[in-house]
Amino acid sequence: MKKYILSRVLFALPTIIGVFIVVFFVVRLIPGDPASAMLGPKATTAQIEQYREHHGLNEPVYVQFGVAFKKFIKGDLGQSLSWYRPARDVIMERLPRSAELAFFGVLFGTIAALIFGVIAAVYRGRWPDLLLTSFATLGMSLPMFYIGLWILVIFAMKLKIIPVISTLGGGVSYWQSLLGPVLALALSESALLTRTTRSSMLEVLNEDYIRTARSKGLTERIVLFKHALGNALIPIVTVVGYSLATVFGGAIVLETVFARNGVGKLLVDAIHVRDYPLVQGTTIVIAILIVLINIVTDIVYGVVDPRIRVTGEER
Amino acid sequence: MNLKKVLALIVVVLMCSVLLTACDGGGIAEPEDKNGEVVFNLGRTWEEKSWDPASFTQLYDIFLAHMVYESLAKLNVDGTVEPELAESWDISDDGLTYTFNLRKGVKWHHDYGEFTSEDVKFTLERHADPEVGSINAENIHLDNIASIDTPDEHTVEITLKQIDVDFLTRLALYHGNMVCKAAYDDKGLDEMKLFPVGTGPYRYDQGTPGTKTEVVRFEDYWGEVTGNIDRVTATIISDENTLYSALESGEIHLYQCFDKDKTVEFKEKGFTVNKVPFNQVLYIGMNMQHEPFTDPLVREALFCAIDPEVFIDDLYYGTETTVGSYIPPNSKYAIKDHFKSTYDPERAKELLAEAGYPDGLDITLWSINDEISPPPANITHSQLEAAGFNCEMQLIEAVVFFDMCRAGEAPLWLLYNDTPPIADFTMTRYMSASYPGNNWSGIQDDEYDSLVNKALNVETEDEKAHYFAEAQKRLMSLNVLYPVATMSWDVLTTDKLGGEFVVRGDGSFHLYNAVMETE
Repeated sequence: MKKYILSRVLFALPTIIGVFIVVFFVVRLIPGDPASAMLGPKATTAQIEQYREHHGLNEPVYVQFGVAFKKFIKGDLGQSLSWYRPARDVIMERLPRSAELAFFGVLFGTIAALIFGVIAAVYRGRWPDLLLTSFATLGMSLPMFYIGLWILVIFAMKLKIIPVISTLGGGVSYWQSLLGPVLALALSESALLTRTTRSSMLEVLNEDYIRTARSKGLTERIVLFKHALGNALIPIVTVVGYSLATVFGGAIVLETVFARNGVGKLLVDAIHVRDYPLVQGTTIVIAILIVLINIVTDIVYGVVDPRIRVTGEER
Repeated sequence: MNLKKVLALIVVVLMCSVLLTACDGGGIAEPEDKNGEVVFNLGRTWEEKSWDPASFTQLYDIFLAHMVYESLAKLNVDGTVEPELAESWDISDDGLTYTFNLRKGVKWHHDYGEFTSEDVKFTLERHADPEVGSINAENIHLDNIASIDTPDEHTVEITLKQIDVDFLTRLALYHGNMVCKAAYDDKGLDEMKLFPVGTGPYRYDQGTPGTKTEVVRFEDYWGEVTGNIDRVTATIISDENTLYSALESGEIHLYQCFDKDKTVEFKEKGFTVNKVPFNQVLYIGMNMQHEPFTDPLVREALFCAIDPEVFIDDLYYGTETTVGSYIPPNSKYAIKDHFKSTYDPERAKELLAEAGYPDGLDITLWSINDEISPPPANITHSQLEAAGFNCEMQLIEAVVFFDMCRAGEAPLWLLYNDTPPIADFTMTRYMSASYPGNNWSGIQDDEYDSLVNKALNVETEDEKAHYFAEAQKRLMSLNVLYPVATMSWDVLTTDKLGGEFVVRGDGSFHLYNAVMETE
C-alpha cells in the first residue's frame, strides 16, 4: 500500500508541475494588465509603470517564469498582487471554509443519495421511485445558485432559522451558519448520486447471489445493505470522489450566494484582477487536492471491493 | 426491524438534527450582542486588500479604514479643511513652509504610545521607500516636498519646492492617513497590511480576509464621541441579492448602493437613505484621434443625440442632477452651470448627413459589464439609434476596458468619471502629453494645455479656480466629453440608526456619533 501511494504521489508531481506551467502562461494570455486592474481608471501612466516595476511585471515572461518556478519548487507561491501578501497565506485562509463546505455537503449529499437510490431501486416503477427519480432529475436540472437562493428565501427570510450571511457571527452557531450552503450543496450533489445508486443497485439486485441470499432466508435489510449496496458501491465511490474534487473549486456559486468566500471565489476574483501569483497558487492547490482525492478514491475501491488491489490488478 | 422502520428512523434523525442545529445559538444577530456591546453590521461587496495607506486606491474600497486612521486635517463637505491631528497650522509668507502644531495627548491604538512629529515625518517619507511600493506618492505630490523637519515632538515643518494651494487638502485625503512608526518598527510592513494601527475613534480588533473585519471603540480616543456603537463589523457579501436580503432581514444595518431602484424600494420599507456626496459624473467619452470622431460635425451630432433628462428621470428617479462640466460639482474648481444640453435628434441627423453619413453612421459604444454601467449604456444606445447612429454596444471586463481606453483604442465609451476632491488629476489627464495614456479622448489642444499649466503654477486658490474654469470651458467647447449626470452614493441604513451620521468631503462617512437603538 505504501509503495502504491508513493508511486501515485510521484506520478502526480509531473501533473502538478504541468498545471503550474500551463496556468502560468495561459493566465498571461488573458487580455488585461494587472496594474490597470489594481489601480483602476484613475491611475496615471507613471503609477502603472511604478506598480509593474515593483511587482516584476516589466521583466520578460521567461524571466518571470524562472523566478516563479524557482519559488514554486521551494513551496513559495509568490506575492499576491491584489492582497499585497504571500499568495499561500491568502489561500490557506480560505481553504478551511471550502473544505468544510465540500466535506459536509458531499457527506450529507451522499447519505441522502444512498437512501434515496436504494428506495428508488427497491420500489422500481412505483410511486417512491417516480418521486425520487423526479427529484434527482430536478436536482440535476436546477442550477446550484437557484437552489441556494430558494434555501435563503425559505430558511433565512421566511423561517428565520439560518442567517442570510453565513459568516456573520454574533449569535449564530457554527452549524447554523453552515446549514444553508451545506443543504444546497447536498441537494445538488445528491441528485446525480441518487440516479447512480439507483441504477447500480438495480444491476446488482438482478444478480444470482442476491437471489441466493434471499433464498437462504436472510432478512431484506441484510440483503439490501450488505450484499446489494456493498457490491453497488464502486460507481458510487467514483461519483463521490468526482463530486468532492470538483466542489473545492466549483462551489463558487454557493460561496457567493451565502457570502462564504472560499477558494473558488478567491480564484475567480484573482482572475478578474489578473492576480497572476494568486491564480497560479489557487489552481495548484486545487490540483493537489484533486490528486489527493483521486488517490483516496483508489484506496477506497480496494476497501469496498477486496478483489480490486491497489495496484489495479484483479485477483 | 424492517426496512421501512430503518428508513423512517434515519429520516427522523436527520430532520431532528437539522432542526436542532438550526435552533442552536438563539437566532440571528441583533444590534446588542451577548457581551452587551452595541454592534453595527455593515455589508459590502469589496474590502480593504491591505490596511497600508500607501496601498489605498479607491475610496469605496476602504471605508472601514476611515474609522481607524486619521490625517493631519479633515475635509468638510463644503471643501473647507479643518484641523484633525494637527491642532493648527501656519503657512509662511512665501507659501512654501507649513508649520503644523500637533494635537497633544493623541494615543495610538494597541498601546503604541503617543502620536508625535516623528510619525508625520515617517508617514510621508515612507511613500518614497521602494520597499513600501506606495501608489500614492504622486497623489501627495511627494516630489514637491523639499524637506520635513521636526523641531520638537509636537511640531512639524514641511517645506515645499513650489507653492501648492491644495497641499492641505491633499493631506486631508486618505493619502495622508497617519501611520504609527513604533508599530511599523515593531511589526514590519507585511504585518501592517493586516493589522492597522491608527488614532481614530475605532481600533482594529479582528478580521478574516475575504470574510469579515471588526473594529471596536477606542477608549482612549482624543476626540468627543456621542454615539453608542461599540463594535462595527464589515462583512463581505459578493452577491448583491444576498446583500439586500441580509439588509431586509436585519442582519446588516448599512449598505451603500448605486442601484436607484433598490434605494426607492428600501426607502418604502422604512430604511433611511443617506446621500453621500460622491465626486462622480456619468459621462460619454469620445476619442478625437479615432475615426469618425476626428470630425467635429460627428461629435456635435452625438451631443445633439443625448438627452440627460431621460437618464435622470428614468434611471435615477430624479435623485441626480445635470452637470455643468465634466468635473463633478462636489470637486473643488468645478464650474457648475456652464454646460447645457443641446438635445435635438433631428439636428443630429442633419449634422450626420452634412458630415457625409446621410444613411446613418456605424459606431460602437464600449462600456463595462459591471452592475452599474449597463443600464445607462442601454439608454445611450437607444438615444444614439434614434438620432441616426447605427450603434452597437459592447460591454466588456473593466480591466480590458481600461487598457483599451488607455491605448487609445476605444472610439466611444460610457463610464463614471470618479474625480478626487481636488480636480488636478482630471484636469491634467486630458493634456496633450498624456496621449496615449490617461488622455483617453486623445485631446491635443495647446490652449487647454496652457490653461492647465497656468493653474498648476499659481499662488492663490482664486487664480487656480480661474484657470481651471477657463480650461473646463475650453474642453467642453471641443464636444468630446459629454457629462450626463451626477452620480452619488445612497447609503441605506436601518431605521434603528439615529444620532449623527457624519459625512466628509472625501465621500467617507463616520459612525462615532451615531446612535443605534437597542432592544
